[in-house]
Parts: sequence; structure tokens; C-alpha cells
Amino acid sequence: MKSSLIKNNLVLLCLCVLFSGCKPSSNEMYLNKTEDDWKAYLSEISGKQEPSLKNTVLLVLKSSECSPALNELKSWNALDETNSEVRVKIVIVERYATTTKVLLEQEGINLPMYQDSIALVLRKELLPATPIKVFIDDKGNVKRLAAIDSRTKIEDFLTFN
Amino acid sequence: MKIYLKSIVFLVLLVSCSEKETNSTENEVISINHLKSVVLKQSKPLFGKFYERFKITGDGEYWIFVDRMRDKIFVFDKEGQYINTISESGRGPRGIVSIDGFDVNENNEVFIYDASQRMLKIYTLNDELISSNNFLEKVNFGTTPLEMLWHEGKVLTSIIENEFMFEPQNSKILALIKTDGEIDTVFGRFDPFAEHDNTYSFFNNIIIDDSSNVVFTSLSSSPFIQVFDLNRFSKESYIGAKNSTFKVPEKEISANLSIDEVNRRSVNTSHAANLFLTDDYIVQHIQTLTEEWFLTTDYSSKANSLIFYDRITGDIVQELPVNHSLGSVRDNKLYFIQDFNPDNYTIGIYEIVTDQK
Repeated sequence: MKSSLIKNNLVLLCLCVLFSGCKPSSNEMYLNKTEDDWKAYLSEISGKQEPSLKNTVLLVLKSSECSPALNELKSWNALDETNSEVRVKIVIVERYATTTKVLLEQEGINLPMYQDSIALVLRKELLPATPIKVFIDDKGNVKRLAAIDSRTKIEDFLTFN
Repeated sequence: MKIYLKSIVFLVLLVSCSEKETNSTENEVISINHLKSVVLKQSKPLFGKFYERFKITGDGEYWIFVDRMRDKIFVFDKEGQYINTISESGRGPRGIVSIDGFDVNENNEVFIYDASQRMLKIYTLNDELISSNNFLEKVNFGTTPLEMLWHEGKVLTSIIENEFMFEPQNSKILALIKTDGEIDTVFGRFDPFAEHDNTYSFFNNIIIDDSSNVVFTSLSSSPFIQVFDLNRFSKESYIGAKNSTFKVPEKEISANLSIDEVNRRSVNTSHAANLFLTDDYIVQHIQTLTEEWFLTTDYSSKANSLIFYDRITGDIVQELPVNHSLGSVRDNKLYFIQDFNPDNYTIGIYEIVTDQK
């Protein structure tokens, strides 16, 4: 990963923050979380009661993520405009509201958005790290987690056997 | 572990909570004295998140920031009034896709290196395009993002050779490149400490001393500074010292670890963030990467200290914990980022006070 980062000259902060770790964590404890855990979390950061999260994809990332994650956001944004079966929401871990606003404006994202200003999603151990996408199925179970990195096709992420 | 880390952060905050901060050494006592603070005025387009480091024009009139949300350069005057942005988004003649290096020279010409397009574009401070050239198209090295400086009409950048990506201690470290893209000279070697830092870090800060024509380099994972002569392109000296306050990871950080494990191993380690020069000192900005930083990537959650080196002897004069991140240095004034909130982005300007003990 380090090699590709250098070759593509991606910006320093990605390296500085992550020091290039790329192996996925064990996801078992995060897959045991439920819709209720996520609803409680989203209610806490938004100050509102959350509606159902069944059949919902949550895209959780920091404002400082690199291009691959941001590029995948655009794909989800496009899907949300054409797909009525799966809802897509985005959670931005960022302290400042204006930073969040500029990020979404710059990337042309109009998905429903939550701002997590204190990284509560990590403190509550709902996820091991960011950027990660979470699919909550029609029974309210966390069905799947994967990195947001443009490497997996959206259709594959939503397909289960 | 968490309590221990919080204690460290708390102690750093306690030590550095006054406006006038002091620390003692054998002969000199350096302190910094707050002169004034300037809040940047938001305009259109809004800026979202500036990198910590910014540039100041030679006459001190203008401040130049890179917004990492928009990949755009924002120019403000020294009173914090928004002046303009430089370049356009995209791949057109004036277009920039990503800002991977930039600097301003004494003529207020701003170069932007766009790695996505492999181009170097030069603009006036008023956003007029001066030139546009292919840059670093076929080279056997990568550049350290944002570590590029004007030097006598050329661009000096820190690099790592592709073949030494995982043995950085064997790589050359610097390249001088003409603005038309022709490589002038590739020279120097990485800090030998790279063999012992447990991180495979390849990020080198650079700062040029035009008066003696040398460049100082500082590997982010090392407490040492290398000095290279820009006439002979040879190493002049190696300064600094391994000390108890500069923390390297206890366990090796390699690319096959998970992100959360990488973060865990990096908590409470030191990061040489930047180098600056004043008339009397080389100023090394050291940051401690706190647990809070890895959770939030909020710049203000890192702990900061400055190491002052005597500019003539290279001896360490003093380490000074400070409240804020050091964004720039110009005319012996230190420019700290006091508030990163884009709605109240505040630059605190300090002078250095040196007293004999």
C-alpha cells in the first residue's frame, strides 16, 4: 500500500494519520451490533429520535479520508437517487460543521448526513476504524462491513448468499 | 493505558497553558510572547480545512493556505481579509486536480505541483497563470507531498526512491528540479535513524537557508536533523540527539497490520512535523500523536513542542512545550494556529524572547 501511495502521490495526511495499515480487522464484534445500537448512537449525535434503520447502508468516514473513499461516496450518492429499496446515509466524523458542509458541497454529495463531532462511533466501538460501510438488513442485523475504498462494487456489497 | 495517555496529554496542557511559556537551559532561557491574534474572514467559496502549515510572502503581506477539502489555495492578507483563491478545479489549462506541493517566492509567484496531472503550474498571487509544464513524468522516485520549496528558480523536493520504499535508509533524499520538469540533481541519503524508527517513514521536512545555501531535512520519525550543502550537494552535518522525550513506536509498524493496530502502536509517539528558521535558531516542531488524534484527526488534539537549535553550532538550546500547532515562521515571528474552526480560524503571532540565565 505504501508503494502505491507514493507512486500516486496521495497527500501526506493520509499517511501521517494511518501509517498505511491496510489489513482488515476481525469484524465479529462489530457484526454483533444491532439496529438498536446504531439508532441509539445516531440519536445521540443528532439529538433526534431515529426512524428505522432496516435496509440501510451507513457510510462512516472522517473528513480527512483520501480520494478512494471519497470517490466511492459519489457512487453511493448516485445509487441512492435510483434505488428505493436501500436507504443510504452518511456519517462524517468531524469536529466542525463548516468542514463537513464544504466536504459534501465539494464532492456533490446530497445523502442524508450526520456529523459525529467527537468520534463517538469509535468510542462506542461500533466500528474498529474508518472509512467503513455498514449494511443493516431487513431484520435489523448488521449484515456486512467493508472498507470504503472504491475496490468493492456496490452491487456486490448488497448481494448476499 | 487510556488513563496514562490522558494524563500525558493533561500534563502537556498544564505545562503549556499560560500565554508566556518558559523552560530553562544551561545558558539561555527561551520564551515566546503573544503579540496579537488574527481571525481569517470566511468568504465565498468557504474554506473547509486548511493543512496545518501555511506560507507567508516575502514582504509579510499575504498568507497562503491550502484547503484540503477543496484542493485549492486561499490567499488572505495579514489582517485576515480574504483576497482570492488560486487556480481552478479540474484538468483545464488553469486547472488543478490535487495540490501535492506549493510555495511562493520573493516575486510572489506561486507554484503548484499537481501529482494527479503530473504538472507544475505557476501563478501570480492574483491568480494569473504564468506557466504550465509536465513535471516528474518519468522518474524513479516519489515525492513527499507538500514538501517542495522554491530554490533559485527551481523546485527542491524531498523524495524516496521507488526501489527503497521499504528500506528508506538506503534512498536518496532530495531532488532539485527545473520548472520545465528537467531533473537537475538528485542527492543526499536518508537519515540513518530510519533503520531504527520502527515505522518505515519516508516523510522528510525540508527548509532552506538561503544565506548559507544549505537545506535542513528532518525525517518525521527521527529526532535528528541533516544538513546538506546546496553548492556541492553533499552532507554537511548531522545534528540533534536521541532523547527521552522523542518517542518512537515500541513495536514495528508495518503495512500488513490493521489500521486500528497501526493506530494503537502509534499512540503517544513523536512526529517531527516541521522545520523553520529564525535569525538565531533552527526551530523543529514536534508533535505527539495522541489517542484523541487517532480517533478524531482533529489537529488541535495533538500535543506540540518546539526544539530550538543554535543556528551556528547546531546545539540544542531548549525544548519548549507550546499550546498550539506552529503554522509558519517569518521575520523571527512564530505564527501558531490557535483555532482550527473554519468559522473562527485564528492565527496567533508570537515573538521569541531570549534571556541569559
